[in-house]
Amino acid sequence: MMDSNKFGMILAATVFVVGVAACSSVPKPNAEIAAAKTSLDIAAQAGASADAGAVFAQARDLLQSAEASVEQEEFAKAKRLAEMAKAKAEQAQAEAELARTEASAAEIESSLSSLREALRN
Amino acid sequence: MKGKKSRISSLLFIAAAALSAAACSTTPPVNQKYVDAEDAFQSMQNIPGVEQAAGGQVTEARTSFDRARAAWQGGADKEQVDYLADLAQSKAETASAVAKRRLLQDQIDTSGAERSRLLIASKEREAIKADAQRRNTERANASLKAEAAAAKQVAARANLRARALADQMRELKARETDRGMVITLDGVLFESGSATLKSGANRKIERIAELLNAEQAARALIEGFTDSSGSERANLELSQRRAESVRQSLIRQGIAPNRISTRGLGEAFPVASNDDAVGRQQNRRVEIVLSEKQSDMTRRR
Repeated sequence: MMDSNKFGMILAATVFVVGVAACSSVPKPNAEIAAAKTSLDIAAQAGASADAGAVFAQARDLLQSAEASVEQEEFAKAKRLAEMAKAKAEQAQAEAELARTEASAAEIESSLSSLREALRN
Repeated sequence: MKGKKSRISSLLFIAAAALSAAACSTTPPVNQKYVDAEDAFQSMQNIPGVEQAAGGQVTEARTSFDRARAAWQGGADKEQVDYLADLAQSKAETASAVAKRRLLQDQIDTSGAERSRLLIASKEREAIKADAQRRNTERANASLKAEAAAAKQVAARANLRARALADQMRELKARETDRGMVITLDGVLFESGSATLKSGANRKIERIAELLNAEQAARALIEGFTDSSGSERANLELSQRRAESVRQSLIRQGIAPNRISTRGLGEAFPVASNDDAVGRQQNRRVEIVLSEKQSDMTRRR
């Protein structure tokens, strides 16, 4: 049977190593931040700030928080924030494109119904 | 020594038991974000044809939702479940939006094709209408042209008649007066002291007859005059006979007798001085007054 002191020390050492590893085994999330930035740019070009304003603003705020977390060397947090920022940016882009397509559809349906009306007479 | 060891191991045992109990529980605590993610995921799946329309995004959403579910059922801490649920919800919304857009785009393409078809049909209709209008206009123009041509002919004929009339008036040396048109036959057309018309008067008589034929409403008053040589009574009688002679000539030209009246005025109303031969010759004349109004003609000057 191990003597309790030795056991305690091994336990503490393990916890310490695991704890440190938890902080430093997550690398600086450069790829995730870059990916989030790209998605945000694409969303902006798709007119997301106008047509999907709320979601686009969330994405932008998340990216800012991710970058702030990087500065504070909280890399795990930064990675998650960046991933969420990317997801929100893609959502904003998809919703903006949908909004514009809906506008086109409405316009076509309207002109179609006028044409049908005109030809009926 | 023995107490410490047993206390640590008991604590470890309790901790392990608690952990395993949590891992095996069948009802994890309610997490609103997880519920929202579930709803979003369900909505996505309910879109007909969503897999075909947004396959990649649907797969990503499904993977993300599976992770969220595993964390929630596995009793992971709230922060972790919240994060995974948020992520899953966002991806489900994205997949829904992409699918809806593509399905709508298909509809737009179909509608667009029909719109093109209808535009062509509408333009054809317009072309047919325009053509019909054009033909109507052409027809209207043609008939207007015909009317104008006819009117021109009528005007031309009237013009010719007016010119012919003017020519005749000039030839006859006719004068317009308040009594009507007055044509003078001078005395040279009669033998001296005679009421017989010389042949030189024929053309004038013919012209006057033409005028009377052209204007059926017109009437003629023939007045005879002499110079002052000789007796008043003889002159009166001669002038009457000469007027009558002209009347007969006109009747021979086919003018109805009731349209022609005569009177002899003798020496009255000379137009020149009777003191010289030229003046006397001018006074020896017959005047024919043409008018539609009998009353005007017989009015004395």
